[in-house]
Amino acid sequence: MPDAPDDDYVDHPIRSYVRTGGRVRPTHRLTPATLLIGHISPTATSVGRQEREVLSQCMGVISMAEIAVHLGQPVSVLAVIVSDMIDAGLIGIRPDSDTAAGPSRETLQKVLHALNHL
Amino acid sequence: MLSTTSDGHGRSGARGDQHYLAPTVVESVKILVVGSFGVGKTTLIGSVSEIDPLRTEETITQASEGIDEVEATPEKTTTTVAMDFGRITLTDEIALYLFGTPGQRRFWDLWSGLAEGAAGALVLVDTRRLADSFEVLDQLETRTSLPFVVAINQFPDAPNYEPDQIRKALDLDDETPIVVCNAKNRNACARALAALVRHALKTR
Repeated sequence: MPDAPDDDYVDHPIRSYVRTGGRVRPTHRLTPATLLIGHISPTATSVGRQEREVLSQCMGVISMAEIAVHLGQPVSVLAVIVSDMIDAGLIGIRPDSDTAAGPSRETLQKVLHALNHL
Repeated sequence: MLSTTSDGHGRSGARGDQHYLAPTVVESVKILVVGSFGVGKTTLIGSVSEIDPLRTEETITQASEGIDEVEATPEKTTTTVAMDFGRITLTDEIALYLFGTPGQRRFWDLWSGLAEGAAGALVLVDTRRLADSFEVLDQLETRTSLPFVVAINQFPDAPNYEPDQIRKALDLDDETPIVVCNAKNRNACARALAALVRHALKTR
């Protein structure tokens, strides 16, 4: 069983924060191409099973879409969980990943150069 | 069992153990690959992706408008939409994500969110079924301001039209580039994507 009984005795603000309470709107802009990286180990005892599963997929830089596939969840559901995990400091967003404004001219030039040499 | 690392399943070349991006990657850019069913979106993504194309599924709960060609069940209020995607690490810092989505009106809820912040859209077209592209192009033009390029996926038994004939048939602006592409060929796909990015740079 993934949840050790000891977990329930850890009094940590994260425990209550991560419960989504039926919320469906994430508080961060998380798209399928948003890049994430975990800040803590998935084996940390302060996190619940759900968070541990997400963290186990975020031990390096990876996109929301990939995590969603590996966990078998829709991106929209994952976004709610990840959003809370960001607020709790468990996961970080790569700030330049899939911004609403889109890539800069300089970035597009780098992309073009790389595609021309692919 | 969920695995945290890909074992590669004996694949060779770039597709090895690539669960994660390099730690230096800080930026992601996305391009939409749109087009009607069976036009080769997933094939194109697979040709250039460094990972095997993956598929996410989302459920759209609104009643789907129009008629579902596959199963016309009017009482159906949820539609499962599959989105295939792949990725290419282009520089130490930039990863490109390709999202293949059907561009029809009834998928718009999923599509509009994806369009925000995208570098542009590659519209894959099958010349044997040109009319299938009308709705996709219409949605792109009316619902987004995304720069797009039309890429003809050249099937062996497809008629060989001149680009001007295609432009006329699809009612495209003179500025919209048309490229010929073989979705199975990595170089051809890279050239089509480069044409799109070049076009995106011009339209800014």
